[in-house]
Amino acid sequence: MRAVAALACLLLAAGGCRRAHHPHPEATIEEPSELRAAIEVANPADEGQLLDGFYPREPGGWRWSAPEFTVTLAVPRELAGKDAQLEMEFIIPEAAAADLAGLTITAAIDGRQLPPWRAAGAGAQKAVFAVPGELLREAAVIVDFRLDRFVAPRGAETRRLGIIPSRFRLAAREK
Amino acid sequence: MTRLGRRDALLLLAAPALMLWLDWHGLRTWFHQDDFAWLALARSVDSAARLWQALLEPAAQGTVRVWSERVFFLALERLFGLDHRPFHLVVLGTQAVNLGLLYWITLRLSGSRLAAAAAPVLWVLSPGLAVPLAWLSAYNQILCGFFLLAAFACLLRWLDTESTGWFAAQAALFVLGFGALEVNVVYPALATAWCWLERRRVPSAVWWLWLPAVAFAVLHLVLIPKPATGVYAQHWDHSILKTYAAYWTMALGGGPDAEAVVKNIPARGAAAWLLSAALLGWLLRAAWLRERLAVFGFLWFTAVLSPVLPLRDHVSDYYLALPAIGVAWMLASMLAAAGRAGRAAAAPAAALLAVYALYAGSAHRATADWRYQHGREARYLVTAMERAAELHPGGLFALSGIDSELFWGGFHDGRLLFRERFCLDPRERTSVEVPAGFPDISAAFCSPAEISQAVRQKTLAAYRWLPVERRLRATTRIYLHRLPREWLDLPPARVMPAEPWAARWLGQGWHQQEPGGRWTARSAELTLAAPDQAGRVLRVSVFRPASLLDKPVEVRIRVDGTERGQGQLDKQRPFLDIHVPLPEARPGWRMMRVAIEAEPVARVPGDARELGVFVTSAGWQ
Repeated sequence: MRAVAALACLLLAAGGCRRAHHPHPEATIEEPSELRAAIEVANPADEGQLLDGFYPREPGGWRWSAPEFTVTLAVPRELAGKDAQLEMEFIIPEAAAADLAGLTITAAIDGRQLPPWRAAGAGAQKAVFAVPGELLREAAVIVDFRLDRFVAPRGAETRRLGIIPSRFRLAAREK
Repeated sequence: MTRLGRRDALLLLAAPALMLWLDWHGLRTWFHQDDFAWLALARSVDSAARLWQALLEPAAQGTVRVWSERVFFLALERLFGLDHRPFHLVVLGTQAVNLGLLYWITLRLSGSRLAAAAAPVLWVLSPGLAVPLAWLSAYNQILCGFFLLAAFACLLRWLDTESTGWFAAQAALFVLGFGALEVNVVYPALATAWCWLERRRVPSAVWWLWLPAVAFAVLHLVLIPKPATGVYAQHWDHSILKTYAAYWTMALGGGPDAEAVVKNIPARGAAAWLLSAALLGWLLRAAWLRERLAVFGFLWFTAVLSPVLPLRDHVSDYYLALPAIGVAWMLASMLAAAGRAGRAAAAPAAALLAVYALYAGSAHRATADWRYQHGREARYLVTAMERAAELHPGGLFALSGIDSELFWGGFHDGRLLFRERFCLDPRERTSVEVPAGFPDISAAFCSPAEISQAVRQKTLAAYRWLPVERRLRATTRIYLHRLPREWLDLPPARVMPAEPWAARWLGQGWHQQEPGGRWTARSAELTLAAPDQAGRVLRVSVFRPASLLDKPVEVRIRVDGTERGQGQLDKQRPFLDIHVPLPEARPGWRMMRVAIEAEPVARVPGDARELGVFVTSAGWQ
């Protein structure tokens, strides 16, 4: 009986002997605590603001988007509650020009659609969406983009490819 | 007496060396599957009473494996936490002793050093040993092997010396072996069989060993409920022969499991047939020649396997770990006999053993490697969960992106390690396959009501598993953004009346908020989310000070007007948790009114209020 009691004490006390354990800090990828109003897709520091619909980084840092993708942007203090514009710089590669000809991009904040933007053709371009001030009352916005065309999977490429976004920015509305 | 010399020491080294090579990955496998349930049990021990309960309360399938599961996990978790290496050192140490015992026993039974050196090597190659050496929850096989072999070695010493000390040691080891694995019950049959084979009579003392075995078997039959359905249902019919044949094939390196894990070695079925034919031929000849080791090997294989033969739908490779000793003896005796017969017989015997080594060894190695990979994935996930819990203590963690393999390997039991609730997004229910006979997994999924409540309390943390990077990525922003709006309108699944946010869900009959809860009047109502699936249980925690319990108080719980549960408070039991099984979810049923009624009510001088019960929480999971 004494042996059993000794074993019980040993087991209960043993917990105090072991070293404090801390999991590896890189075991999770946390969301950025501070958001930026302008982000670069190729910048790893901004990756946390690409919320959904971006394929893995290609050599050179650029990424394909899916036909639907989502980013979050901080609302700069000077823009809070004011009419502003949302800018997206992107590329339509020549190889995808035929599939994306006549592409229209829509963006929505809090479920409210912004006026759509129609792409001119292949190459680098900048889509600009007018954002009413009432959508900019929070410290950050989540923007859902949607493309009405995409490059369908073919051959070894199984993904539905959209465009190659490079930069997103919330800025004061240009007169 | 069989004395061991320097030559034996060298021969003895072959088997552990082979084990280290074959199980190099297996012996470094991280925790997975049931391991987490045992580790969680160890973490739950915070008092002597709880320790006693953790050591002796029946667990899975009503088993109480005190040494091989309870003490093993409790002690090592307590000392080393989630460091798997000390656990594996214990496994390795035990198995090294087992190999030494097997060498000595084989030498004693056969008198052949060739057989003695071969038997441990052949056992190490067995596909059945891969899992117990890699998966810590299967340590019971290794430890039971120790008790069986050690008791049997003591029996042999007793037969040689007639010293009662050896018999007593044997009996003690046999009885202690029940704390390792139920298969231990077959030991008297093994002892009896050997005595009869060697002496053509069974000493009367050996018959006494049957007493604890029969008592254990009867207790097991009477006390442990036997499931009528599922993989643990027993089938006492001709399927036993089929199951026996399946294990036999598997023991020789064949069978569907081996086919599945080793794809690059062909003709596995043909090899198993060849080995079977050779072994059966050898067995017939051995019986004729009175080669006791071969016959005893066959009896050992059959006896040690017999307890699992009725489990027709649960044929598992690791159940072969101990029966495989019998196979090793059959093969080793064949080799020794062939060696004695000369080169002409030795060459085919060696070729057969080479075939066994190739097929059994490859299945063993592949199984061990698969377990290692399984443990690695679980380690990444559990470490990420630890990190998430460290960053968001007390949160509700809604995970997504977990596939079936990771779910069963790491998540299902791994989540039990945490005080925080980790659950999968309910919309991913179909991404997890539930094989027949596996437990209900409802509790592993968050309910929409829990999520909605966590959103309101700002304690929700959403993460997505990234299978390539093997990390959890925080996705709370997008998760909240995409959350179905109708979820956010749901009432909570659990209300703590002391919390300010709870007031919104309390109806009539509540007095003002107090630290820890609220008093009800004779009856009080609250609104909770309706259950999202079958099997949810409502728990209402109530209290009334003993000074207000002159008479017992009946507490009744109504759900949407129908009485569903009740309990009684009295001076001996002023605290009460009332558990109320809830009806199944049905379309359109989003919320339910829960009424808590207390009779009689109490009054305190100077206080005009009618006091029913003090409610600390009410909710379902």
